[in-house]
Amino acid sequence: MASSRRLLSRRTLLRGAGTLVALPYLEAMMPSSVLAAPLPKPPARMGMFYFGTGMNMRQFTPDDEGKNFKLTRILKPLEPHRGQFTVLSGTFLEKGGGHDGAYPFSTSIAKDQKQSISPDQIAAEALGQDTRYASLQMSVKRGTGFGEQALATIAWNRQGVPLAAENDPHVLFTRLFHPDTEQQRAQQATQFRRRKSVLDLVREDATRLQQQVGSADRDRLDQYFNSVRELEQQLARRVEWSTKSKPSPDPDGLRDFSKSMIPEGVPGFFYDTYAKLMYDLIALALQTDSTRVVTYVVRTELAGGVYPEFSVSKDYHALTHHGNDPQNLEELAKVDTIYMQHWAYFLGKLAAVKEGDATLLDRTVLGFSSGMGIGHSKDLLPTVISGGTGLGIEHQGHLKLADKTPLANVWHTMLDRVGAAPAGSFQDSTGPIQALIKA
Amino acid sequence: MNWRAAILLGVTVAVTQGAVVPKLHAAEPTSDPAGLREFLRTHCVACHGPQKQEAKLRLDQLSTDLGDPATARSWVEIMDQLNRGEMPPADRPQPDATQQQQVVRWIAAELRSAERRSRSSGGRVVLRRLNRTEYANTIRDLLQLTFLPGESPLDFLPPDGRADGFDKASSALLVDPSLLDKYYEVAQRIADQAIVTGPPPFATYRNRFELEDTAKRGSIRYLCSQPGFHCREHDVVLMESGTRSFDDLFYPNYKDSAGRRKRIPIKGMYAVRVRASADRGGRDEPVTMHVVREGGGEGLLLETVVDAPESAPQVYEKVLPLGIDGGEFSIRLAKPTKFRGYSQAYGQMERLIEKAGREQDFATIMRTRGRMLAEGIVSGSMPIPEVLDLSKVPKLIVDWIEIEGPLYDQWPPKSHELLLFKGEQAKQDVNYVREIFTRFLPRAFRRPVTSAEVEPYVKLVAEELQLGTSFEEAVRVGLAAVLTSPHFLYLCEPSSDERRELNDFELAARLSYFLWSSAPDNALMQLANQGKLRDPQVLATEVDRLLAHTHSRALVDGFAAQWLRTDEFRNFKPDEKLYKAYGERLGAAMVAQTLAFFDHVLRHDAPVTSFLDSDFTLVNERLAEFYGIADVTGDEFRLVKLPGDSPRGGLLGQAGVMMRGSDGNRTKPVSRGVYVREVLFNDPPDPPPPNVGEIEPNIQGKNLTVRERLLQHQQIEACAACHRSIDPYGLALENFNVIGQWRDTQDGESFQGRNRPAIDVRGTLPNGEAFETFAQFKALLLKQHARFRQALAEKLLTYALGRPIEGLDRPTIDRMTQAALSGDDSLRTMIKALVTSAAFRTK
Repeated sequence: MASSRRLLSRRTLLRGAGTLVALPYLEAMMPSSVLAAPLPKPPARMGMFYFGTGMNMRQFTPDDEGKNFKLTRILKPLEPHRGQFTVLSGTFLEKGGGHDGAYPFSTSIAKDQKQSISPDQIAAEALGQDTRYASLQMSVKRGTGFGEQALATIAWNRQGVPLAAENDPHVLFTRLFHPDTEQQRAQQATQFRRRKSVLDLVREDATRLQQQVGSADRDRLDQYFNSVRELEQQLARRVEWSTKSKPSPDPDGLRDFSKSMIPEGVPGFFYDTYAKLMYDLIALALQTDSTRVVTYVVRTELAGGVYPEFSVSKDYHALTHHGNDPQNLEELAKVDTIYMQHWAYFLGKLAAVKEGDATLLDRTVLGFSSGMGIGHSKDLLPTVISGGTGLGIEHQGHLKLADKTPLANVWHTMLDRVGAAPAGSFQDSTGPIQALIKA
Repeated sequence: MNWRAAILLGVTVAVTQGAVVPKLHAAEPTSDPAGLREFLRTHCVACHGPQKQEAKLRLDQLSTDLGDPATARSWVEIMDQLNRGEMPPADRPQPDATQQQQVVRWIAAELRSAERRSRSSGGRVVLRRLNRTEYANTIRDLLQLTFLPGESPLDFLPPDGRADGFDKASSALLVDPSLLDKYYEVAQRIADQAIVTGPPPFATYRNRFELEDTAKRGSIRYLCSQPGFHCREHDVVLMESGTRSFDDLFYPNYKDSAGRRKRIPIKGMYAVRVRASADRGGRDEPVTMHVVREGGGEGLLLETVVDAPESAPQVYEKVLPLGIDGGEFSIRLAKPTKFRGYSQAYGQMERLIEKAGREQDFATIMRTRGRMLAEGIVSGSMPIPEVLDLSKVPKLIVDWIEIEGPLYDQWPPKSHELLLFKGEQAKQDVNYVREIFTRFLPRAFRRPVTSAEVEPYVKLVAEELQLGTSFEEAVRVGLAAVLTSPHFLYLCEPSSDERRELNDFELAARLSYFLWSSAPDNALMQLANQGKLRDPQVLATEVDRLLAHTHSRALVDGFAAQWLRTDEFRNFKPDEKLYKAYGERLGAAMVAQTLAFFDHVLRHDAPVTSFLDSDFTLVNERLAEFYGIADVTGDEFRLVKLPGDSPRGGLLGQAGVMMRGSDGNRTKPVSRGVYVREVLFNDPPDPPPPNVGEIEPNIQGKNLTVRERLLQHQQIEACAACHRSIDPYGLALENFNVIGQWRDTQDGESFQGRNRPAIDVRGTLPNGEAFETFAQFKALLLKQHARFRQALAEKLLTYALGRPIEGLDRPTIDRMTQAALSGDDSLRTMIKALVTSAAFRTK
């Protein structure tokens, strides 16, 4: 009797101690008869990506529109993924342009203004309840970079505080997948107990202090309280998850994450390897359902952006002050194309993961853009939405939006598709982009 | 119109506008909104008014409260449209340029003042956390801990935000969950290092390898048969290849968890010593020795000239951190002599054989091999004839190499003794815990602490003890909690909404975090305890004491670096082809010069006007060579007197400042001008309108200088007004090229060879004073010393208080500048006036 064969839930598999779980949606999880029962629906995922200091839009923006548009030089690497992405012209960051553009990028709020929750965190609140990590912040630069122009993160919590990003694939891999030994678990239990006691203690310290300070100081102290509260919640979550084994990624084709690798000051650093490690990690994290929400600052404002292997004459920021010098523009396009090659690699990774009759890419909506266009402008942003056809996205190839369409519309579309769009207004969005939504 | 006419016109406009245009750096806008309304009515309301609201904009009712974001957005739109010349549309009557400028300036000034209001704390210092530097310094002083490279709190805590130009601003020093998590993690690391259990994990061991043993080791014996390596009875002579220590210099009786022997058992400090002598081989150049360790990222451990003669070898030593990952140690010559060279004939014949192989032409292969044998061409390398006379080859003679470590200053470490103050014999019970934290908490919280405040920490530790945790480990838990408490992480000054005077302890903390970026030391705490610190006389004496201490370097690395923006000096890498004189070492020296200059002015009470111009500067060998200053050797910076005609005095004579205002292959006078306005005058110009480009590069056939292109830009009326108040400051510096070299003719970009245009720096400052040369320009700047002194006072106050300057701070600023003017005009005098002011002494 087909109905008596209990379908393995994904979660059961993940919980199985020591089980090597490569794919949450193994074919084995499918019912013996495809018609017997509906498939467990794979979750929706969302990713936001930041390419700082804009791109050479003269070689990015396609001339013609529509699904069969001609790919420009910079977009050329995406050819194999036609139908899986839409280039959006006409997006606009009212508070962006210049190197402060990373601040309003995900919140529409200018630098030096009080920030507010970013779309990824809105998504994390809706999608992140059943995963080990509610969201993952990745970046080419560690920390938040708050205050500098080269912001290292695009994720902001409800209090408008930037969430620090990690830049070392080794650290991220360990966090996500490194299995715990018995000894580690025992240590962890001790750690959890102490952490709880310490949090209790410092909260009381802060409570006493709060009673002694005026209103302006109290505002600052609220950040401390919120942090304690958040850490307590995280702790509760960690305690719960600590009894469950971490998933093990499929060793087949797995890159070497065993060594620390960060872009600054490491001799022999090779960006191509680094980029692929970082993109692989996102694919693995989503595939194993370790998280469903990711932000990644692929390139920060001002700093870096080129590596010796790119063989260009200046740093990326210097190149963007191109002054119409053909060599500068050529080199910019060259660098941007390299970044798009990696993006194509990433899409390929996600598309190669089967989830039932669809792919991981189909169930993941990804958006990238920048805080500026070319020549430090507020418009002409390099904006692309990828994936998510399984979430009701209908890709349009190259879509020209009305001039000055807020970038928030893009995030609004993504939130809408993953089922996390806030009720009422969202930033300065005028609504999801209807042309991208399957009728 | 040529550029001179443009400038003249500029001056005329400025003069005629003088009466009505608000002063650019006025704190509060004074323009008359009535004139503004008139302007809008005449030029805008027809399309953006009651009848029509094109672009959904209605201006006849637009509020002038720019604190409201929606209102501000509309005004920004108006400003941008006017600046771009897009509104009013071309087919409409155009507004008078002067009127239009007034409107634009009013909007810009209002925006800035609204922005300042939004961050205002009403002139009060707001609670703030320690920044990363302060945290690390505080730990250093509180626990007397030293950290190995890569293990300091600075390496674990994320960089801090900045506001108002400094990482001291409360509004930028946020706390978020990930940071609090980090604080706890770092606190645990510190606790682990501060309190130890038992003897050191690895005893200090001195490990020596006698190099003559090379011949006895099967694995490295081959070295002795190489022509540039002589193994002797008591030492080895190096001429070409280096030594190895393959099977030696392992830490004794230890294997790691994978069963491998380790040379370095634990990351720590080690001494590397080599007993060596040298023979120059009759050359002038001394022999330089390298001690190298590959594989762990450490590479070159020791580089030194070996001048001891063979008859009297010396021991060369360096103490440095070593990690567990590296491989064997080897000693090399910095410049080895090549004993064998590449054989051209061999390569040719090998290629011939390879080609014949592809073509299956075996006859040719046989023939060629035969010829190679016959002619003795059997190897890719062949002896170089010059080394046949060994007496002319430089030699390094090595007796032994020693690795000693891990080295400990003392064991248990000082931090352990400070905390567990009763020593190893103490009874380890809850009472002792109470004593420990009763002693420690006041130092950690920088104030007296009640027993009720101590008790929660005692309870925490007691609970751990009850669960069977060791005494040391339990105290570590308590220590980590202290370092995560808001009382430690924040500079707490409890108060109601009423202003009040700081108590002695709060004052001690403000003072030490201002001058040292660290916690008050025992002497300050003692003065606070005695209630003496609020005495202005005592406070001033303490300023002297704190400034004399090496910890006051924090003021240079904290205040000066951020004020003078030294971290931006190297934002653009100079074009390697155009500026061959530039290198990384020079770049580093440029940054160091500016900091050394500030350090000198601070410590030697040079007048603050030295930043505008000085008859001295500070250089090291590399920079002296670059500036053409003779007789300076070594990496240390030192004071040099400048000849009267030297352009190198003051801040604007320093190459780093000039390099900051360049983009790698051309100078950026606007950026340099903005630097002068912001750094020297604390008077940032209005932001540029959107989408203004950079100065275009020269298109082919045209060779305009940056100046000429900039002056073309000034002919656009909308740009002229602002640029007139920026560009002269930048164009005056055109004598300094991209890397800050002096130039009389144009260089960079495509200006090469002969017929390069002469540099022209002439200009007129916004106050109408004209100059012809850089020297005259500096003289005019010096005349504006009052404006500079005020700016410096404002920057210092912002840094000291961690909040933006407000209108009400004017008396404090005046107090500082007055004190300087009536005294020795030193930074010290200004600092003393600052710390004794009401603003500094109240919450």
